[in-house]
Amino acid sequence: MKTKTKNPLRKRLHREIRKDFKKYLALFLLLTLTIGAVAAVYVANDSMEAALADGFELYDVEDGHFELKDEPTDELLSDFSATGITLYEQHYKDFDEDADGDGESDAVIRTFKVRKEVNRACIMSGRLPEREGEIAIDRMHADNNGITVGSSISLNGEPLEVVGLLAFADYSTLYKSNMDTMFDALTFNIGVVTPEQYDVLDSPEVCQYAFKYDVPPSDDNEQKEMSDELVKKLGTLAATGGMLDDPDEAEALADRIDEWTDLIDDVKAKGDELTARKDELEAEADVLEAEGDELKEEGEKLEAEGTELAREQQRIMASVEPMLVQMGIMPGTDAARDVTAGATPQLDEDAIKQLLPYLPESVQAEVRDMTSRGEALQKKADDLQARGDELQARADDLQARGDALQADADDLQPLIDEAEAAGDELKKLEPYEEHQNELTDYVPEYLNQAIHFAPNDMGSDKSMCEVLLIVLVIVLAFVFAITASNTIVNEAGVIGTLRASGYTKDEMLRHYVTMPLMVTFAAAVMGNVLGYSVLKNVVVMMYYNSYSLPAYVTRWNADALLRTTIIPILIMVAVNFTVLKVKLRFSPLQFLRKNLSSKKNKKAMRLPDLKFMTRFRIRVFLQNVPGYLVLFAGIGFVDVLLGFAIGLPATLSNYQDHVTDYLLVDYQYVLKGTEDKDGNEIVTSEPSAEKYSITTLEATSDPHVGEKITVYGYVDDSRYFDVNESPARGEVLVSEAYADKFSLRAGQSVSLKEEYSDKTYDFVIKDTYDLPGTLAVLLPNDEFNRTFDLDEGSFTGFLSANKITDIDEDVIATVVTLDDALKISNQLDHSMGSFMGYFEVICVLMAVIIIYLLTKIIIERSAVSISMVKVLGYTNEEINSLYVRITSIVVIVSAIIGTFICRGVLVTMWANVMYGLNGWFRFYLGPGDTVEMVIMVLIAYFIVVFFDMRRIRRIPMTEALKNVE
Amino acid sequence: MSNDKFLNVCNVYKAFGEGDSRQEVLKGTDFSVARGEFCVLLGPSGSGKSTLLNIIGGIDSADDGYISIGGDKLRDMDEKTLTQYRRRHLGYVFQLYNLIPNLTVQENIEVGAYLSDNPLDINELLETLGLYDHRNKLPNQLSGGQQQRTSIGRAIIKNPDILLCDEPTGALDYNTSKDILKLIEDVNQKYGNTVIMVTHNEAIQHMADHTIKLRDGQVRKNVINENKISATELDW
Repeated sequence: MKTKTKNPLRKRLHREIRKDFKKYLALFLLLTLTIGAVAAVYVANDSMEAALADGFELYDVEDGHFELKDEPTDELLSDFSATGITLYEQHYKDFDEDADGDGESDAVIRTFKVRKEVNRACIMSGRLPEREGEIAIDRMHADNNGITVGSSISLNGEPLEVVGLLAFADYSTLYKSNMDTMFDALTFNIGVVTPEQYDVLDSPEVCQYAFKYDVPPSDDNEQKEMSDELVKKLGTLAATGGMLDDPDEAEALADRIDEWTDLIDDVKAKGDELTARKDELEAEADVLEAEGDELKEEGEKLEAEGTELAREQQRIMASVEPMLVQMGIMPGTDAARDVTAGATPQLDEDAIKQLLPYLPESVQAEVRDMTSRGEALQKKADDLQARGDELQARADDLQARGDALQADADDLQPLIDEAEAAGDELKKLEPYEEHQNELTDYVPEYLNQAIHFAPNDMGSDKSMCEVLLIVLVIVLAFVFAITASNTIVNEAGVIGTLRASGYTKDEMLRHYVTMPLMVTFAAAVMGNVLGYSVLKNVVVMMYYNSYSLPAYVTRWNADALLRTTIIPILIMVAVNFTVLKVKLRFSPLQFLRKNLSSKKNKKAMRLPDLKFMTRFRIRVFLQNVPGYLVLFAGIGFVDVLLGFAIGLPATLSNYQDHVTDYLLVDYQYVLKGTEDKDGNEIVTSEPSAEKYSITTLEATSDPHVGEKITVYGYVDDSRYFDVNESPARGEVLVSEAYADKFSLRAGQSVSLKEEYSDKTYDFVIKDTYDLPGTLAVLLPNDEFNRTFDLDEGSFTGFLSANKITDIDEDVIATVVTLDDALKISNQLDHSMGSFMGYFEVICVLMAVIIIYLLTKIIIERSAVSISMVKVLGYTNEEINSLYVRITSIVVIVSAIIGTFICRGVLVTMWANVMYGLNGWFRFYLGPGDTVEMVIMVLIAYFIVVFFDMRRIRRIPMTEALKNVE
Repeated sequence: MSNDKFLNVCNVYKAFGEGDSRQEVLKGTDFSVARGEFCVLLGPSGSGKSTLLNIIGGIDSADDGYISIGGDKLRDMDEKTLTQYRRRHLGYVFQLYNLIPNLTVQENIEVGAYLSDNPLDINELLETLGLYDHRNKLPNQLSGGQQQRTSIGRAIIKNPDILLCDEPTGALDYNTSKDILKLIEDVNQKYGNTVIMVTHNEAIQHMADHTIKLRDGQVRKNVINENKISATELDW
């Protein structure tokens, strides 16, 4: 039995490759290098990510950490632990680091004791410190600053020998603070020393604790939920000294404490008032009593005087009566009748006054004296009586007030009872007071930029590379498809014969798709080999240059295989299959007749009455429209790469040039409090200083939930905030950067959330404010204080054009300066800037290859025509002017249009990069940069033109004759 | 030679163009060819012979009428079936050879062998074609006659029921033409294929079993040649 003959058409393939070796080599190299580069990014990336992921277990990376204002009590720590976490003390001290011994600070080094239980370090070289005088520091910072094992650095002037270079799993990206816009491996460092060395190094210590969950979360969502719950508990426990861990309960308790305190204060005030009233009444009663005693004494005295007077009166009357009887006067008077009746006449004053003239002079004098004394006595008695009455009235009043006081006191009693109960409750809280603290920072692992920025950024590298690879493969797939289309046109007769002989369309299709598939497959294999070896090492070097990563092991990567090999092959098949299926749709007869046009009677496009050569060029253009379209796409692709290579340094440089415009002010002081130790408001004599308020909230919306948004409160007539019309209550101004990044417009609402709590603040945007470098909202300081429930007139710091020198450094929490704003651009420049020069060269080479391939196709397609015009006597120059000039025009126009397209693409790509970072600045491509891009493409083209002209020169005149039927 | 009507061309009409430019090429063409017959279609340019050959080959279709081969009507076949029909039953030889330039002689012939489940022995065929010594040459290293031999080899290696030849000697000189005609004659005799050859060379009718003359799209003469001569005896 005969074996089935294999399709002999496959034997063409290696000859086809030999015949067009340069073309296929160019395609192969382009694909190989791109697939290799992307595979390298994937492999390096995933190996590194795996190393980082393994590092979580290997180095016991924390589930999060928090900082407290003061050293916590053991009881409070115990209460923290009871929330389901294990705590690890990792206090640290920040020092000025002098790496080169010039006495100037080169960086800030955060120094821990060697951590053995959690967040252990990967030793990249050297060893961990074992004795005093030794330190091990971050490997990447060391590389950046030329520090090696054996070097000496000083911490606040204290020299230490570097004995090891480490990669810290919790600082794979050197973020000094999780709030920082960008990490900083140049001027920030991490170090570990022995506990003994740590203790003797002098700097304020920050109380930080790492924690790990006792029951680890099963997924990201659970981790977030647990973290949200934990921060509330920790904050509540710290604030209540461990009494409560439920913020709702704590809030209720705080309300109750307020009520209790108010009640006690109220009762106390009322009690004080009653006491004061009582004291007043008692004082008055004392006075009354004294006055009563005095009155009584006077009464007694008066009574004695009255008695004496009466005795004298009786004596006088006794002496007067016989006289009256003797005188027989006064018959008919009462006295006479008394006398007649044998009784002693009752003489009153009037009677005596009537009788007085009849009495002896001596008696008269005596009577007059007695009368006068009697009258004086009476007057006194009357006076005494009046005073007695008055005293009585006052006593009655006092009694009434006393009764009222008693009633009030009775009324107060229940309140007193309540206050006593409240007091008892408050007393119960006293034991917790000594444990009270304040949670000043909380960073769960999943939000920790120092841990996650590197893997996230590497992930975005993968996406970007994948997009570039796909675009390039699509461009190259079309290059292949056009090449194959031209071959089909040239081989129409053969195809017609084969089809007429029984070859199916699918067999022909498979045959023509095989070549691109073979080249892509070979490129994919070679690309993967390079991706796992040389190129991977280059990418790893780049990553080590950017991040402080641990040692890694290269891992086979199925995802990389899918994305760098399978998907490109599928794209290549899909594009070629589609284009060639359309091209092969014609019938065998149409192939035999070389009639490969869908229009049966295709008419030539009428051209305006131009010069012959111009019309000729237009015909060349029209004949090659698909090729030129792919050329346009290819140049557009190269433009995007070039735009990145030129635009990134341009963007960073532009940012650095304008950073002073982006800054609100040169010095922005944030104070720990606004009162000094003596309780006086902190002031400065710096003339340019101006009070302001600042706080940080978090964005709650896309594209970056959790982004820190600065809230500024500005004073009236501020010299640093140029606000024409202040926003009304509930309104804010938003900075241009915030508006840009979050696509905000006037009239919209924004909702911002407090860190570590669910409390949100809603604002209506009044307008945008020209502040391109900061994501911020602005509102008048009074509104700031009202919004955040602060005392009237509060502020949090000073803005100043000059350095403030008369404020105690201990009260300054932080100072934002130009250097901080430059951190992001310096780091990006360091990480990527140095590669951009090489990248530009690679882009030009890529442009050379793509333009070479496409112009080659165009020239080959016109080979018969070129040969024919040669036969007719056209010179090479004339032929070049026909075939090369039109291509030149297409290249120049494509290059120019490509720059505009690439600007749009890059602005979008840049925005996507920045969405993942804290902060915002725009992609910048200046006019000079645009011109540079066009020139780069033209340089690539001029290299190709040399080959094109040589190719045209080499087309033989027999080409035309061979093909004439 | 069998006398059964293997190939029937029944009242076939074919026109090209529309309106004023409409041109009727075949106007009720009607004839039959027996299995194994060497049939020559003669006629001047524009008589419709190549169109008829293409319709017989299933690469063009009739406006009216039909072609049946072994009882199967081509008009009832869809494109896939037609392709399979060509694959199994037909071999094609064209005036311009249409060889694949970057395949050798042997490989070009293998292109035909690939289509058959039971191809002829290639070495024997190469000997028959007189190409054995040239089997590893590329087409551009061959003369026109050798290229046409290769083309014939490609057509017959799958041992087709019908060998369709469209002016196979049209681009060749006298001697080479005779060689090619002899080769086709030999193939016909050796393998028993039905050969339908389109030509405007009247001399060739003398070597045929059956001559059909076309003019203006109609059969003007349909003759069975009782006294045919060998291709080597032809002269023109």
